[in-house]
Amino acid sequence: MHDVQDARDRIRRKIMELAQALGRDGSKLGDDQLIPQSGLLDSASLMMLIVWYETEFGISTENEELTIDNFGTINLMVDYLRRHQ
Amino acid sequence: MSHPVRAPRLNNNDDDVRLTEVSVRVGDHVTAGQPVAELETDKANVAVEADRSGYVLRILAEADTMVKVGSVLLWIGDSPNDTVPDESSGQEVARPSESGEPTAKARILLARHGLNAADVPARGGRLTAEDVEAYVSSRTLRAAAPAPAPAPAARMAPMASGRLTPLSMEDRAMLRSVLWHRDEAVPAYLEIDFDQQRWEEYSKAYAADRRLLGDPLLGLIAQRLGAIAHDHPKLNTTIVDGARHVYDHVNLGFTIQAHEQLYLVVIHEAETKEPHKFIEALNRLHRKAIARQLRPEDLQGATVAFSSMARWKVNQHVPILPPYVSMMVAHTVSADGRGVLGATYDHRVLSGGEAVMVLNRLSRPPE
Repeated sequence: MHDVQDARDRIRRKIMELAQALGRDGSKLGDDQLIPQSGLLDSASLMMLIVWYETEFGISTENEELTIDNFGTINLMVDYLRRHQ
Repeated sequence: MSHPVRAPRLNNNDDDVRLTEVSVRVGDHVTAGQPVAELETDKANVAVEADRSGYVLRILAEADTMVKVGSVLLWIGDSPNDTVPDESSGQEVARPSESGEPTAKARILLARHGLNAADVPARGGRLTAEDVEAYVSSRTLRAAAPAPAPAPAARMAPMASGRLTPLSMEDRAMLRSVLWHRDEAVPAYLEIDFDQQRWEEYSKAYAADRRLLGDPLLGLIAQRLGAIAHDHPKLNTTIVDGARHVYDHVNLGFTIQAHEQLYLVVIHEAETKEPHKFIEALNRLHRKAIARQLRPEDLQGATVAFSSMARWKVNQHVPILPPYVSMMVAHTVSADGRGVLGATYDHRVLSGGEAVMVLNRLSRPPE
């Protein structure tokens, strides 16, 4: 199991990288702030985030699991990781 | 006439190669350059492409078997009723020269002017509408005497220095698309403004109801297009050899940008999918595109298509028709929030009125 803080930092860095590609600043995104509602990432970037997440942490997700409840915030993404590793 | 598709030599060492996949079935219509099979080497998987358009008559090799380099994998016929040689005789059918073979537009003009293709010189590898028009014009200007054959145009080349590099498989597929659009279809374009907000409200409510992570707006619009195409079969047809080819299913092509590449992924049998299943299928293809795991079957067989450039806030974009697709809808939202639905359509199949009817229906979410 990856260190929780390390996973959180890696996810945050990826979100900031994807946001920057769209000309947006993700540095102030809170760990419990809803990512889709933040305006930082569009649908295509969210999909890139998911594919990166699967590769980075070595887990696969089913389509029906791609919900706000599992991946809506940085902390929820970390929780999902803890449940599936 | 039937033509063999053979297993190519991939390197100097291997006289046998593994056939990993045959991606067509007997009876399928294929276009020149379309992948029909896949071979495996130590280094990569390589697509075997059809070298001509036609119908798959017979498949001689099975997936997951070793085949000899040069052996016939399958036969393609100019018509679905062509016969193939007796396998036991091993005779092959000589491929006729493609020089001067007319495009569809050229064939129309030849018929209109009562000409034979053999009478009209082709400046390139195929006889084009421009060749026929040039020949007719020269005959008109010199009506008193037979028109001499015009000198073939000098081969065009860039004036600035550079170097030739081979096209990638994706680049070749794009080139095939644009050439089909230019040489076969009669493309026309129109567009309408529409109230994007109605669709956005519908999409937001849909996403909230299902707790979706991403915005399903474009998927919902595309699914709606598929439903409209199912209700109006004429939209889901194309022209093949002068006849209307009515597709059995609606295969919805959807453009996706992944890395530096533009793909047209295909959701097959879209008319059978409820919105949530359609969006699941689309998401699956999107993820495969990002992970560089798309298969040939994910990119083949579109019958109607959808593209959006709303992400880039362009005012208008005029899409190129993929091969054998009679309508491609172009969605965008301009920087000032104006929603636009445009469509390139094949005027051989659809009238402007029919295209507008589709866009008007698409401009509103389902009740």
